[in-house]
Amino acid sequence: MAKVYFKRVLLSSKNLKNEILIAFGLILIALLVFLGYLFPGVSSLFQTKTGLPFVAIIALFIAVIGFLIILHIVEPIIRICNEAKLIADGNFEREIEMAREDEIGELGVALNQMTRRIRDNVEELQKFSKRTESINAEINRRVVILASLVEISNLIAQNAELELILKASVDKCLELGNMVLSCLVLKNLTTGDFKVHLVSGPKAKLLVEQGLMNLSIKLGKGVIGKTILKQNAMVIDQNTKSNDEMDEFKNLLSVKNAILAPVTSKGNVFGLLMAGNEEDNYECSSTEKEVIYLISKQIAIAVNNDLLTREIEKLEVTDHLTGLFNNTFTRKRLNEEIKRSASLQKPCSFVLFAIDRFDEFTKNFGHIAAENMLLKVATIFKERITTSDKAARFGDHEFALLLPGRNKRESIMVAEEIRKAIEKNFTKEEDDRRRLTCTGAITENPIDGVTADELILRSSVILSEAMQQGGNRIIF
Amino acid sequence: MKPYKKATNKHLGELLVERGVIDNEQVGMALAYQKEKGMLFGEVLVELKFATEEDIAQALTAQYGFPYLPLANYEIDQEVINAVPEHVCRQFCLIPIDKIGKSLSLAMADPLNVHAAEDVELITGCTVQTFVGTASDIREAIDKYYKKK
Repeated sequence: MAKVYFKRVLLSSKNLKNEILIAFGLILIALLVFLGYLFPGVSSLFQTKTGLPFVAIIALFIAVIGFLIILHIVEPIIRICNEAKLIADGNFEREIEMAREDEIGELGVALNQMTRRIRDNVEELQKFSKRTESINAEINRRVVILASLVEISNLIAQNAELELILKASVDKCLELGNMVLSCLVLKNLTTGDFKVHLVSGPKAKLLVEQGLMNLSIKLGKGVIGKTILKQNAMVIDQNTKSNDEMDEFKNLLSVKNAILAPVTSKGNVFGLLMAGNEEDNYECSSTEKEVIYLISKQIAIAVNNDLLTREIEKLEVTDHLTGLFNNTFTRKRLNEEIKRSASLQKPCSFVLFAIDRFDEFTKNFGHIAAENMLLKVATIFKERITTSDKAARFGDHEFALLLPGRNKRESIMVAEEIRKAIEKNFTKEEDDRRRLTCTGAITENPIDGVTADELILRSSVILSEAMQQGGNRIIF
Repeated sequence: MKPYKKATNKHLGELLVERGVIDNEQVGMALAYQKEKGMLFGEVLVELKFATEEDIAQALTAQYGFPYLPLANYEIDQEVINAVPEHVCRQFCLIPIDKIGKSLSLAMADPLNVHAAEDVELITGCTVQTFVGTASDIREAIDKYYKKK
């Protein structure tokens, strides 16, 4: 407030025009005072009647000229000022018209140049911002795609079920290029036939009802059969020349465009991944093609992984914990031993053991104690059999013995010895809940059956009967 | 359950060599053949024509005192047949022929197969009296009697 008041007292103003007027007035007064003092004769002129109007006219004339000059200086500045305000408000379309060659004219030209430059810059900035936006959108899209691929990789790394990985992969294809259908063809590894394995998308249900799953696919025939054999992805879009096979394919999946990628690994063909949409004038981008190809590669890895896991399971013959033979191996081996014994007119016995009250033991002492106990039992088995016999961990708490060439009388002796050894091993335990025993059930080929399955089943039946009767015995 | 009382571990090959039916070279060949084909030693000798079934039966009879029983003229009671399951007979190449009280007469191609005799005693609960029969006679009899069931 004080500052405003002070400005008023000083006769200063925000208005340039007023300021100049006041300045001019003050100079004029000072000049008159000075002249009156210097030439008193002149001042006497004012006292004459004739001199007064003359002087007044001259003074007025001079004042008007002075005022006009000032106006001429000040007016354009005010105009420039107003224009500048409008420009400052963001109206860059305005141009200041200033047909003058003095400093004010130059100021106007400079201001116009500045405005133009700003306008150009703003336009350029807008263009940049639009480009940045589209780049951001593209980055976002790629991040989503990358996330999808990472998600599939994670599933593979976590050793998820194959079906889960396949479902996730097929669903991810739909997130791409407005795809409405994705479909996976897989090879049946036992028959070698290619069949539609999974279909996803809004139209999937209808296509399944139309019998897509039973589609017979012949290698090297039709679009699907041909692409399976290729090692590269294939695109059907507006740039693809149409032919009968293409039309047949499009009708089959009821799509207009499609990306097909064979599922292959190290030259082995596992199947084909397809994704399609219904857009007119669709042009497949290289990114879309590449992503479908990458997903197909991920599927190949998952299928290969699954295959190898199953191979390993088949190849594994021993139990991880005890080092004894595992169930799968024992079943296979028992069949072989039976055949061999039969050809030599010899018997072959199978003994199935179970630890009595094992669940109770685990509940009381925990899994680690139970595993330690199983290890001790396994050691007893290993120590008490001959080289021609085989000991196996047959189930969670079940053990088995293969005794080729031995009949029941001999098998009973072996089994009794093991039962007693186990009983003895645990009698020293202070806690009577730790004093474990076992029950064994003996079956023999040919008395109890001619195949491994028959012997195993019979053993299980009589074993559970014996355990219900208290266990710690050998039954045959 | 007592161990089979007529148990002996003498190999059929040795027995036939002692009796001069075959020589050691033939034993070696027969063993090699047996290893390949997984057949019974007696069967191998017959297959290779080193000995006849009768030669083998007679050798067993002479050595161990198992009486030889020509099955062709023998009629077996169905009740006796029912005492031993077919697959046991086929696997061990034997056939029950008679049962008197707790004594079961058994014709075996290999009367030295202690396991088999023990198993039959276990199944039937009878004491086994062993007779020697030729493998082909016994198989024929199995086909004939077990078909009836």
